[in-house]
This record gives sequence, C-alpha cells and structure tokens, in this order.
Amino acid sequence: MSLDRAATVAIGQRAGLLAVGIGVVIFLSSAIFFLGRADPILAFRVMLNGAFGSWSGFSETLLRFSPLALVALGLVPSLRIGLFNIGAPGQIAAGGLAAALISLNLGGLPAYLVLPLACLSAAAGGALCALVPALLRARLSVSEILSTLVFNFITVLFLQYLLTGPMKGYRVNLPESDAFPANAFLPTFVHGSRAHVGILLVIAALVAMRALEDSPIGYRLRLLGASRSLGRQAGIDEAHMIIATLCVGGAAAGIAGWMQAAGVDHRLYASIADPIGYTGLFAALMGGLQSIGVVVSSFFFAALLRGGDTLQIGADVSPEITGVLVGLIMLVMAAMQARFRRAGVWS
Amino acid sequence: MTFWISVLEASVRLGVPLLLVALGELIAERSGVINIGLEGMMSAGAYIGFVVMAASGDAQAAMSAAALAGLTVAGIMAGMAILGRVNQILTGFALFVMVPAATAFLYLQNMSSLVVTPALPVLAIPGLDQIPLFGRVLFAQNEFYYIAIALCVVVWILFNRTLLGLQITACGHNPEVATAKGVSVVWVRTGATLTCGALAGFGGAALTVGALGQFNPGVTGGLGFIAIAAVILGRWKVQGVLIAAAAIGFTDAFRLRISSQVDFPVQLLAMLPWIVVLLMLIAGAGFADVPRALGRNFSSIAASDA
Repeated sequence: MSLDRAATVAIGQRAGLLAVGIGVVIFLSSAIFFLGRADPILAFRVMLNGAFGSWSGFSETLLRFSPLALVALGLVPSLRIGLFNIGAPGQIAAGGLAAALISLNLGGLPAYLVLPLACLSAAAGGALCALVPALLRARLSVSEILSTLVFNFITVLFLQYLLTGPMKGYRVNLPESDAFPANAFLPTFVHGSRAHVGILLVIAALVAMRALEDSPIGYRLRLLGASRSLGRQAGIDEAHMIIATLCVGGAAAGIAGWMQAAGVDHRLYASIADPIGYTGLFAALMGGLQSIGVVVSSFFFAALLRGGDTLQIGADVSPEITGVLVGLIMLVMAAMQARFRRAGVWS
Repeated sequence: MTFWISVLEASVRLGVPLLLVALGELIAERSGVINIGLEGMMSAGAYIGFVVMAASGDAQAAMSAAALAGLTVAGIMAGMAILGRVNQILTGFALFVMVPAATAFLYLQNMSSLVVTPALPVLAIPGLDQIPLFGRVLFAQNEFYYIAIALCVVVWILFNRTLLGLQITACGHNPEVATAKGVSVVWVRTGATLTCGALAGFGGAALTVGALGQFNPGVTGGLGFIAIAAVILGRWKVQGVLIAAAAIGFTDAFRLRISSQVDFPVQLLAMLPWIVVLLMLIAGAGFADVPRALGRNFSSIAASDA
C-alpha cells in the first residue's frame, strides 16, 4: 500500500482532525512540561516568539529550514519505495566533513570555485555514507533501518575523533575544526542575519522533485512502492532503484551538512547533525511525501527547532524538550492518519 | 590474565541489559512486530528504574517500576501499530525520538546534582564461584544477571515447548493461517509487544541500576538498536540471541578495558561495537528464519487490507 494517498482525504475532515491533533499535542506536551517543573504557557510563548517574534528570530528559523527541507526532500524517493533511511545524521556528518576538507584546504580559491566544490564534495560524502547500507539492502536484504543507524554512530564517532585529534581547531576543549576562510562561507542575503542562500538550493530541489513526480522515474517509484511484484513484472530493476534512491537521500543530507558547516558557525563541529537528522524523516512523512507538503512541514519543524533553541535562555527549560515535541507531533499525526486507513494511508 | 578476567566480568555486566532487551524484541518479532521503539522503552525503564532506586533504595521496587515504564511505552506502540494499524516502523521511530528525549529532559529538569545509586549486592553461588577463571564471572553477579538467565530459559521453553509459543510464531509467519486456526493475531501481538516493553524497561534498569549506578541523558546510546541486531544475528532464537548479546557485550567490555591499557583514540575504540554489529548484520543476512509477516500489519476483519 502506498504512502502517498493522504491527499485524497476530504479537506474539511482533515482540518477538523488537525484541530483535535493540535489539542492533543498541546495537552500532552504541557503534561511533560509540568513533570519537568516548567511553565508550559511561558515555554510556548517563548518558542513562538523565538521563531517568529522578530526578524532575527525568523531568519534563524530560515537558517534551520534550508538543511531540514533538503534532508526531507531527499528522503522522499526512498520512502516512496518503502525504505526507511534513518541515516541522515551520519550522512550530514559525512557531507560536513567532505565540505570542511575542501573549504579548509582550498580556501585560497575564489568563492565561485570553493562553494560549488564544497557543495559537490558534500553531496558525494553523504551519498558515499548511504552507499554501503544501500548495497547491503539491495544485494543482501540487510535492513536499511539498522545499517543506516549503525553508520550514524560510526560516522559521528569518526567525526568526533577527527575534531579532537587531527582536525582540531585552536579553541581549547571544543570538538570543532578551525574556522573556514571567508571565501568558503555561505553567502547571506542580509548583513547581520545568518539566513543564507542555501534556500535557493531548496527551491531547486523542490522544482526537481516536482519534475520527478510527473516523470517516468516518479511513476516507477510509485509503482514499486505500491507493489514490489508488480514493479518487477513491469521490468523495474528494484536493486538499482534501492541504491539510487538511498544515495539521493544521502547526497541531499550531505549538502545539508555543508550548509550547517559553511553557514551556521563557519566551521565543522561534532554535533553538526543535531537535531536536523532525525527531524528530516518526520518532515518528509508529515508532508505526505508530496514536494510542497514536505517543504511546508519542514518549515513548521524548523520553527519548532528554532523555538526550542530559545527555551534555555527564555524559560530556563532544557532544549531536550524539542525532541519530545517532534516525536509527539509525529505520533499524533500518525494516529490521525490511521483514521483514514480507508483512504490507503500508511497501511 | 587479570586483564582478560576483568574484560569477561565487564562483558557480563554490559551484556545483561542487552540480553534482556533483546529477549523482549525476540518475542515481539516472533509475533510479527518490528519494535523500532525498543530504545524508547529501554530508556523509559532506565530512567524510571533509576529514579525509584535513588528515591527508595529498593531494588525490587526499581525493577518493577522500570518494567512498568517500558510496558507503558509499549502500550502506546501496541495501541497505535497493532490495534490502530499505523505503520509499525513509523510508530517505533517516533517513540525512539520522543522517549529518550523525554527522559533526558526530565532528568535535566529535575535532578540538580549528580545522583549515584548504590551498587547492587553481588550474589555469589557458593562453591561454583570458586571455579578458576570463570567462577566469579558466571556465578558472582547481581540479581539482574540471574533473572536474565532465568528469563532465557523461560522464553526458550515458551517457544519450544508450549502451544502459546507456537501460536506467537504462527502470527509472525502467517497471520492469515493463524486466524483461520482460531488464534487472535491482534491480541497475541499486543501481548507480545507489551511483554517486549516490560523486558526492555527491565533491561534499561539493568543498565542504570544494575551496571552503572547512575543515569545520564542518552545513557541507552543505541543499545535498543543493537538489541534488534542481536535478534537478527541470533536468527530469532533464544540461544542465538544469548550468544549475540554475549559477543557484543564482550566487544564493548574489551574496548572499555583496552582504552586504559593502550594509547588509542577512545572515539575510534567506541566504533568497535558498531562495526561488530554491522558485520553481524551482514553475516546474518539471507537466512530463512525471519518471521515472514514481520512488520506487516494485520486485520482479522479485512485480511486482504493488510
């Protein structure tokens, strides 16, 4: 059963259920805030204010939106054929590492050479990190869920090793590289805001995804997702599709890693994939695997992540709550989708 | 020699939580449920067990509370994925993201200073613990160890000597036939998932209360997923899971102990258990023992719907 028939459900029903879902999320998350001795009203206000309350806050939301949307869009093709690549954190880290190697070593080149090179090598790094799980899945039927997760730990540990050893920067006790040369910084739109041109790449990815949805490849993906045996009968090379879609997801996550390294702190740091990595999968699923939907839900989650990051200072609440909210929203969404089983959603 | 004995002792200590959690996953997977949310259930037990232990000092109370916490999280999983037929992987993944974050949040918000719980008493079996080399490793451990071994026996009997075990296996292989034979697939799977949650929660307590004596955010650190890998490598059999858990426990213990002996980056050593897990996944690939309906939702009312 395919994942993408959510759109067939009547709009009115969806809106009503959405309201119920939001109510449930607010109620349950308030309960968790109470258990953590925090004031939920204050926390929600701080989050909303942090994400949308000012231009600088909004630009910080955009800063999180670009990599998140890219990860989420990249995951759509593999999700369409029922593959759960939860390796985005590792692929982001690999992409960030590849981009850092280019940026730190070739920073003398002009920006119009360094930036594309860094971006491409990040894509290659992310794809490479996804390639092994993809091959294992295609050739040996090893669960991609487990193998991609294993690669998260391996890649992030390797990154931590590099950033405390060979690639360690000058700042004491921080697992991070030296700052990139200014040539390798992602250009920003407005001086003083960190929102960068990465958003243009999201638009490009969106256009590519729209084109893909209506192309023969998109059709083959949907066919294979609907039924493996039908897909095989139609002459679709399943192994090829598995490898290609997982590597596309890896490449997109890799580019997101480049954005994090070259756009946020202008250096490589160990926690580069947090918390974009896992959230990307939720954004893709919540967006119903439709390109526009994925972008909208990515924006929503980006605002949530930004809001969560302001909680520590604004309401003295530890930012771990963001993960709780993200997971909770996904659970409630999934439960609501289950109400529409007759529409064939997420069987 | 003392080095290897200390490695073996640590292997058992680190292997016990993994074994408990993997036993739970074994039961769930045999019934046809992939419980990706295992890490969440383990994390809930690890936190609640630790909190109860820190507050009361009563190990039995901590164990029960931990099992109950895991069971509660499993209740969400069962309610959604089995009764509500939401995608099992999606539900499990949401729990994997949500519950460890919730325990980390509650810990950071509620515990202002580092709390350490007392180590559990070591129960030595007189006579046997005098055996050279292995005596203290196998016969002088805390109660989590003995309970884990006993549970292995219980689960082995369940799957090899009882009708219920056969019914669980049938639900995992062919829910349609199981239904035709009068087995309620939904309730068997619900029961299996709840049992899995209780065991995972208990395993979480074995980690924080039994092995470490403390809790820290992210303490489960992917152990739930390693347990799933252990089930795959153990080919969905109790004895296989036992060997897999022991092997991973040994790897983990080895890298912890060797890090103080040699000058080698700890991060690279920490990759070792994960590389072993990856090799295990590859080695375990392609065996026919996998429950054939694993991860597939099932409705007895509309069997064709599934």
